[in-house]
Order: sequence, then C-alpha cells, then structure tokens
Amino acid sequence: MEPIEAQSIPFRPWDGEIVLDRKTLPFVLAKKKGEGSKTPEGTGAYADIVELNEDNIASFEGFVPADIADHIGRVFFFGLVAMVHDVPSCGMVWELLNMREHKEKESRILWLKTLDEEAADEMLKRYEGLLYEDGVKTSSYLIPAEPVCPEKEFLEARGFGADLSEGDEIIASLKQIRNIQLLKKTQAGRESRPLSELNQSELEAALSRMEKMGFRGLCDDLIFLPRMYFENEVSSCYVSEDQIQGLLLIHRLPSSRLKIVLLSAVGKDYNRILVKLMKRTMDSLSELYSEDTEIIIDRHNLATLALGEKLFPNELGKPFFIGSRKEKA
Amino acid sequence: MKATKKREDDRLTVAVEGSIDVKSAPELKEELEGELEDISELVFDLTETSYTSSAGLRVFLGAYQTLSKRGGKMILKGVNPAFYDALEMAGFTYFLDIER
Repeated sequence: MEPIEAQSIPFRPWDGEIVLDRKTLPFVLAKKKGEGSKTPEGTGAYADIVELNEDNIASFEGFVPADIADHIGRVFFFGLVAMVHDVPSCGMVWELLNMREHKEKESRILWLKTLDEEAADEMLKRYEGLLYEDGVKTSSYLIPAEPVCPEKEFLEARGFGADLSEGDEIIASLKQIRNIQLLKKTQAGRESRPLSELNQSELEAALSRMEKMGFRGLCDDLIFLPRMYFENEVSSCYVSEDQIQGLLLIHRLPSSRLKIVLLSAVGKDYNRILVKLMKRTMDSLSELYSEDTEIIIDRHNLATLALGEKLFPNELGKPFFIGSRKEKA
Repeated sequence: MKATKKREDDRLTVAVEGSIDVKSAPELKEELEGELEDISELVFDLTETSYTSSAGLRVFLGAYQTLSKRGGKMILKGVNPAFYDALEMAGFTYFLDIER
C-alpha cells in the first residue's frame, strides 16, 4: 500500500482530485469527526446549531431516534441539532447521494424534527450552507406520513414539494419469511456459507466486484463499511468455482430489527442463488434470534419490488411524504 | 388486467378487471396517460379487481398526486377486503378516499 499524506486529503474529497477509497477513508472520517462544530458565540443566533458526529451523537439519545443515530459516522451521512437554552429543539439527518459518480449530487433528508420554527430555520440555513460546500444541487426528503405532520408543513413552506408516497420498506417477522413456500422447498446447499468464513481480502474483493457491477444495495458507502457493520454469522455468501457469486448482508439496527442491506448475485443463475442465500440466512437467523424478530426488506428498485410482491403479496409499505427542491449550488 | 374508462364531464371512472401487479401496473399507468389533465375527479372502480399489489398502489398514488396538485379528488371504489386491510394496516386509509 502506498503511503498517504494525511494533510493532502481534503475533508470533502469528492470535490478534489483525491479519490475516496479505502486508503483515504480513515483520514476523511477523522477530519469529519474533528469538524463537528457549534455556532460561534456572539453571533446573535437564536439557536446553537451542533453538527452531529460519532463523539457527540450519544448526548442526543432519546432525541434522535436510535435507528437514525446509527447512520452518524458513516461517510455520506450528516446531521444537525438545534439547541435552544441548551435543550435540543430541532434536528435533522441527511444522506448525500451520487457522491462517487459523475451524476448530479443530491441530499436526502431522512429525519427531521421541528419543535421550534425559529430554531428550525437557523438549522435549515446551516444545512443549506453545508450542501453548498458539497456542491449539492437537489435536496429531497422522505418522512413518515402522519395525519398531522408539522415537518411536512415546514418543508413545504420552504419550497419543497409534498407528495404522498409508499415507502420502500416492508417489515416481516422471521416466522413469516420462514413460512414462505419457496424457501421451505429450497436447500441452501454447500455453496451458501456464513460471511464469517470469508477473510477480509475475499470480502473486499467481493464487495468491489459487486459494486463495479452496480450492486450497492442500500449503501452508496458499501465498500467503506466496516466488516462488523454486518452480522457475520447470519449474513451469507455464495461461493462457486472459487468465486463469490452472491452476497446477502444483514445489519442489526439499535432497535434490534434486522435490515437486509445487500442481496445480490451475479451470473445466469442469479435468481436461484438469491433464494439459496435467503434460505441459509433465515436458517441461521432462526438458531440465533426469536421467530418474532422483525426483518426489514427494502424494495428500492423494480427487481426488489417484484421480489417483495412474490414473497409478501399482501404487504404494503408505510405512507411517506416526499418532496424536493433545487439548492443554490 | 383490463381497464375500461368512462368519462362524464370532468369525472373519469376507470374500472379495472383482473389483478394489478408489478407486470400489469405499467399498463394501467399507460391507460391514464393524458387522461388526468382536465378532470377534477378520478374514480378507480376496483369491484372486479382480484388483487392489487404495491405496484398498483403506486399507480393510484401517482394519479392522486397529479389531481391533488390541482385541488382534484381521487376515489378508490369497491376495494376488496384484503386490499383494504393492507391499506389500513399500512396507514393509507387516513389519506385516501376509499369506498368499500
């Protein structure tokens, strides 16, 4: 591995000449951590805006939902909390999209809380500034739809659209999945193995290969996630002819729900491999987890929507409000 | 899936026979193209619809968005119990106008 000069790595490498990869990532994360700042004193600001990072996120336990806080520390996830008289009154977490591709950069707000409108406006102003620094041109949001939803009203009044949509996620219990006929009839086979059997370089090679083929699952930062992000015993790989041909990666959320973050296979038999991977993962889950354990399946593209329809024909995603606006980049 | 359209002034009724799934939903979406521009009320008559999946719901929501931006209205009529239960469980019955 070539030596890297830490000073030469910009905080936001996507705008520089440095390529964000495994070698540069530790420096980027270290700088990101160091940058978490508060509003300087004496600015006359109503709220104190805090940038979230791995070091301070625990102080907002109970305010930022645990499964949302789980994203903080990942390379493309950011968050702000607005403090009024030292009490958190507003917060938001967003994800940057298309940061490693030659596409228009986007931000997607995943969580927003606006208990105090003035503080929320100051927080949004900081958000806009950060997007400007990142060269983000479009900002969107995706928040759970409730009959009374002040966050939606807040964003709508600030130029975001507001449409009702169906969420991509469906949640099924382990028991429900184990009872799917297709899985009952399937044998996982010797080729389906636990992720723990892969050494680090084999896993990295498999993830890079999947990524080159466009399979990132839910994660733009898939190749940067630490190995322990995945549940190694229940996540599965499919190895045939000395090649990893499929991966099913599971992440355990703080709420104890399990989320499938990647389910991909390559080759002409990819459909059969996907089912075998599911079978192995569900078998190992039932040894380690109760049958009530909830599993989140994200139907983020047409293929996964079709798979969801086949496996859970009567399940619908939750309603969400979605909207977007152009930013000043 | 077969969709039959009936226009009465600014009201369009689309009666759907068969199932609306990931394969047939694009056909239903195509049937609606250009039809929503000058109507104020859209009724999906689902009395003869045997099954509706997420893909079908997404077509309804697309039409709902188009109409609600203009202050129009969308009604789902004749919704079968299984689909109604799924809509209710997910939380869509708060937002959509549904007649069983």
